[in-house]
Amino acid sequence: MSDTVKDLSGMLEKLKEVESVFKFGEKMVPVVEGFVSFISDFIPIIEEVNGSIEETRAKIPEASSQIDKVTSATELAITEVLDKVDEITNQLSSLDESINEIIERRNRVEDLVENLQKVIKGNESAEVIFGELMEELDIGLTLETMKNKLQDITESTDQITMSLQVQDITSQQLAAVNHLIISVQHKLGSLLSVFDDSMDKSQRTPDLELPGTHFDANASYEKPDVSQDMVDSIVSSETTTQDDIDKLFS
Amino acid sequence: MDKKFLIVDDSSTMRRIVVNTLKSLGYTDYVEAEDGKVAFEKLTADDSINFIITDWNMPVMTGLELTKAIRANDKTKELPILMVTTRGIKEDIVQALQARVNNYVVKPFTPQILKDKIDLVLAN
Repeated sequence: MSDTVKDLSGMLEKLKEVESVFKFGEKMVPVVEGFVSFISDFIPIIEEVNGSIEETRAKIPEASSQIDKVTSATELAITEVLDKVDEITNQLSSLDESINEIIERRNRVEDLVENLQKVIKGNESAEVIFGELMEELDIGLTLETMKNKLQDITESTDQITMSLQVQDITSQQLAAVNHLIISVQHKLGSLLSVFDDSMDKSQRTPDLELPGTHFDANASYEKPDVSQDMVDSIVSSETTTQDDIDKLFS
Repeated sequence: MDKKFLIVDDSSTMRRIVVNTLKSLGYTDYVEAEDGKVAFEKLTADDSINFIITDWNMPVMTGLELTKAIRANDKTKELPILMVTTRGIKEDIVQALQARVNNYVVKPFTPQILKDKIDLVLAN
């Protein structure tokens, strides 16, 4: 085979390779077109996601503010209830003093009655009236009942005061939620920057300042006696020696 | 010696409840602070304060930090401290004891529980 023929054969093979590339290209065109179409469709979705993220971020300050308002309103309402509880407590205390005064006077009357009984002894009609008078004066039981009722009411007001501590507990739970949603706002802001760094940051809702973690996220309202019993057992066992406490942390 | 209490809590509701409870127990001398920093300033400025009731979770300075500051100060290190908090897990209680609080009350508490703990701290 002459060199010319060899050259032509080589050229033919190269042309076939080029042809196959073109054929492959032809096959790839619909795929590329599909990909371009997919990207075209995807852009509005990304934009929508961006818009949705920004919309969500924009709502967070309002939600956070609402939580703060709930805390403030509850605290105000609880203060009003405590004012009323104070009034009731003061009135109960005043009533208790009055009853004690009546009891003291009654005791003095009893002494006088005893003397009177001696004086009228033998005078039948006077003794009948005296008997009726004694029945009317027999208010000892009523006074005891009143004192017991006052004690019950005092215990109820103590119970109300204790229950009002729920405000401190819920405010800590709300502070934990507030901290969480502000953290979410910050994360969404970071995500937005990744998706669309061309957006003017001044147009975005500014990040809220992350509040300090001065709350107990696990605060819960439980029956006080049960919780305190558990605490007391730990306190009594852990205060045995400082070494015992240190061992727990070593 | 008469007792003058320092009540430290960022919740005005809780301070009020503690004050009411103290009054019902016959203790009428008290000062209040809304965080540990204010409390420590009041404490170092007022020698007559001789009992501290403090919350744990507070802004600026927590009750635990306040306890450590009190124990680290020669002038205040012997003062009795009662921690009153929502934190009721063992690790927290032990941590508070390590910082040398004298006793520990979990919220919500009854007036009787607070009274018992104050009496216990005073007795010791």
